[in-house]
Amino acid sequence: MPVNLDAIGIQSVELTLAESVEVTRKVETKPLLDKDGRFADAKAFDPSTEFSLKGRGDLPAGVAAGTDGGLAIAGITGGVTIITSVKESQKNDDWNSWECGGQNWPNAS
Amino acid sequence: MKEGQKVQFVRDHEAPLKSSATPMVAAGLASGFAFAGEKPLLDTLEEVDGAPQRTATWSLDGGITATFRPTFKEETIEFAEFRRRFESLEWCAANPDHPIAYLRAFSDKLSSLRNELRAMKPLLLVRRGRRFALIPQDATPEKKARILSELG
Repeated sequence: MPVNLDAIGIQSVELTLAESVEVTRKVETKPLLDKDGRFADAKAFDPSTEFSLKGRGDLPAGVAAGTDGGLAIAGITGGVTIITSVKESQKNDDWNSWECGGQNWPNAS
Repeated sequence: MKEGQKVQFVRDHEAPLKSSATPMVAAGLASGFAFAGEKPLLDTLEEVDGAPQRTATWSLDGGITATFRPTFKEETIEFAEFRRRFESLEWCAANPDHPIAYLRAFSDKLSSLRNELRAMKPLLLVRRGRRFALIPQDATPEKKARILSELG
């Protein structure tokens, strides 16, 4: 893709209330056996994080990255993140509601 | 944000106008990369251990690739010619792989981003357990009170 000369614009987030934050961290494990076939060691690899958020107001993409301090998806700054579900509902008499979920592989590129 | 979308996050604790992430994002946009959505910047201010902590998170579409084609010839030019090309959007559009076109695009993107960032204020981040709210600083007292009460 050659140079992009198009004008850009970004919108401000107006208000977000994240009411539900679920995070599951997973690693694959591989037990290692010694020469006698006994358990000797284990290695963890391919860590990943699954997340699911539900809230009201705006759904900025950065919410999926969460915020520092152990809340939400702390630590997602790199790797690969795939958004697996997005649902946004508009309401006339209240803030819009939204749900999103995804998975992050911090060691992927 | 869309289902199946690959998102790349760029996050640091600097104000976006001062952060080196902003020129990097502008360079990416000039190269053909794109934001992950219409609201790609989450700029928050939170009180952590009694001190304000700024966090800026840019969300880029990680599924887009950029191709850099060395289709331009080696040449030596004077500043007057560099300026003529740089100031001509038509020349840049006609020479989309030339470094001068990239420099122009980068300059325009960075200026646009900075202009928009100057008009934006960080959101106040308030946590209650695993719930959190992002509140605009200029929200009315009634709106702030409502969201804080809903946060619990």
